[in-house]
Amino acid sequence: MTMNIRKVTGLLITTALLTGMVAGCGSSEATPSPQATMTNTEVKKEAKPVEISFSHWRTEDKESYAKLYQKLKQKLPNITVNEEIIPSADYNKVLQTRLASGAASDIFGINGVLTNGAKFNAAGNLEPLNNVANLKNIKPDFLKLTKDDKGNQFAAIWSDVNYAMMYNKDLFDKAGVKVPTSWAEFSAACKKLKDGGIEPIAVGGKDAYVLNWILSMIQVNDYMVKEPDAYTKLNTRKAKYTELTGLRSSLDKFQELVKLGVFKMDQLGMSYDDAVALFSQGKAAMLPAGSFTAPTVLKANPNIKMGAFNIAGEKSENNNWVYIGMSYAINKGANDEKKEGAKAFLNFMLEKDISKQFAEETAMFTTLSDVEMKFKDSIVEDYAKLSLSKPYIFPAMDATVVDATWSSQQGSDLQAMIAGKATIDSLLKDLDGKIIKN
Amino acid sequence: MHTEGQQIIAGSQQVTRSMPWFRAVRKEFSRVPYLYLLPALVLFTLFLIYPVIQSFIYSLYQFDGLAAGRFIGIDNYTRLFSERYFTETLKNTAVFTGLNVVIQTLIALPLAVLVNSNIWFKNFFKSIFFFPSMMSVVVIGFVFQFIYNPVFGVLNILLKSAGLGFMAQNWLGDTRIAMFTVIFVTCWQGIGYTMVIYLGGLQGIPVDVTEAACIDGASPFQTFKNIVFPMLAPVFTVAIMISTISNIKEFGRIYVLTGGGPAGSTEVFVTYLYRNFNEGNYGYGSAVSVVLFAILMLLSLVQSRLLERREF
Repeated sequence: MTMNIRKVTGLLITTALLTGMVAGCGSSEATPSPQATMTNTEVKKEAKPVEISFSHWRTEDKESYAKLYQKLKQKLPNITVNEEIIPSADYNKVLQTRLASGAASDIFGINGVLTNGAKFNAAGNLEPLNNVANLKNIKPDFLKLTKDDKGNQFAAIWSDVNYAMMYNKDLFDKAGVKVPTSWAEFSAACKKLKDGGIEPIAVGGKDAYVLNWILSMIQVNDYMVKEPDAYTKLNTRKAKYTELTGLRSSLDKFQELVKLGVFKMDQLGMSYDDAVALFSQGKAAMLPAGSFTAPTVLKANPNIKMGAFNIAGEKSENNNWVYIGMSYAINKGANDEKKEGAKAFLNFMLEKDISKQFAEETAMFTTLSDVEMKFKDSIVEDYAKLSLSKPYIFPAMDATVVDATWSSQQGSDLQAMIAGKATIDSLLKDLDGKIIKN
Repeated sequence: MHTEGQQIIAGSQQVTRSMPWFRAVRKEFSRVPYLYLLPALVLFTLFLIYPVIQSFIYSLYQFDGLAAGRFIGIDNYTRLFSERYFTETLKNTAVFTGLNVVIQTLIALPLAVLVNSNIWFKNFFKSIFFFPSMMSVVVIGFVFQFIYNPVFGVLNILLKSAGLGFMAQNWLGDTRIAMFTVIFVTCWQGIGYTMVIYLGGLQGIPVDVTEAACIDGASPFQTFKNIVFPMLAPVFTVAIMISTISNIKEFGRIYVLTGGGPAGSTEVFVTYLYRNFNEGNYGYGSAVSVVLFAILMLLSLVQSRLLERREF
């Protein structure tokens, strides 16, 4: 009897222990809480190690990313990030090829999220990010840009940059020029600088995108003010480029600068890097530049006194052209473990202190709300103020309506205008040629 | 009287006549040679024929490389030939290729004759002339970019310091001269390779032929004109064909030096092709590649027909 009781008791204890162990395993495996997966770092600390691949194109941010990984190691030690930096010129092509072949990184940056990101999402390549808790930190204006028709968040816009005219305060003072607040003042300032023997603008015209930047800087307070629905008209095939009076007006202004001798053939042999060097050496008064160029200029010439302003419109409109810097998306084709790891990494990057630190180091501004950035360089502060004042993001062109090469065609035609080989009409006609037949 | 070979053939015909027809066919068309050819044929089909056919199919679609394409028939081709920019690209490619082939041939041949003669340090000269061909086109592109830079470039600085400032130019930024600058770099790098082809041809000419001409009293020029030059004809065919095709396919140097600019003045077929593929314009880019393929095929055929007439 006693033996039986002992046996039964022993069996019960063993069963209870085994049940407890099995139940313990089951509860953690079978019902993971999304909250636990995404935000509870303590849980993650004990989680299974996971290696994720991460690609982007920002070579210049390598050190800042390295610091970020160190912090990641402290917060989420189970996640190891294998970073790959692909040169920006090839980035889109490489990413697209890898996505098509199923070989893309688990998490990757998207260059041109409104066009390329939307395209990747439409092709079913992007994992919805809806359960990434820190997405709520992104400003609603940026968040809605990467939400598709089904309500899925296909990418997270992490940083933005703004483009403005960087200027050399000493050269402006020398020529007696004040910061222009209207198009007429800007045009007059260029003329005054030129007459005073100072190169008004350092233009890396060999890189056609620089000329597109300048045109966009003009357009943001001209074309987009006069014809705010132009992109909608183009995307819905209700207008051709030749019919857009606002665009013609901005091209007139570009042409005005060509006639003034501000843009000239000599500049077509200079790359953007050459232009930055020229401006840094105090050999040109202005430089069309994104905020991210400021650290390079200051590194080359720490004593240069700089400011930044928008090219204002005819009625002193001062919208500021904001461009999306870095956006992240997760590869839908990755396995579940990697996807969860990538989401945890993204969630970590969307923490306010992490984003703030990165922004302050790279001069690319955070898109997270309620983050106060402080920059050691006053020029970056100027850019940050502009970025927050009246931000304007150009809408995306529908690649099924207008051929994706429209932008490089425009840049090439702007070069031709400077060389006297193209007119506004021929440029607009070339752009009409990029409209795909319905 | 029959030869031994004829007897064997007659014998085999007798054997096949006495067999049922399908056995005869099987005997005549032995599978073995085809089995030997099969691996090469499969690889050729997989890596050449299939991509060409696939490119042609893509060229009939509006295709971004990701989502399923939309069939648009020959729209990509009609758009291609109606674009002013593409016509300019065609012209640029013709100028680039034509001038490169002519200049390289005109310079490489005398150089080959020079290093084939009994001059001192001929191996040294051979190495020097061939050296640029061994370098990466990208490295060459970057080096010349530094040399030609209008502001910081060595060439303009040297010209100015030598009192020749009036000759300083915007070498890569002036739409009128950028193409010639690029052609110069291409020739500089390509001449060595062409020279080696001609040198091979020259060394293949039997010495006794030229010696006989010398004994007969022919001058060196007469020997070259009437004996060496005609005997080089097959080498000309090869050298010109290689040079033409490689120049039509030129990409690296132009991409690094000018990127096809300024204002498309150095845009050639392949840089245009690259631009379209790089910007996700796969359908249109495929149409460009099909046109390039057709042009290369046609040129190769015409060129080989024309030049082979001159061969022995």
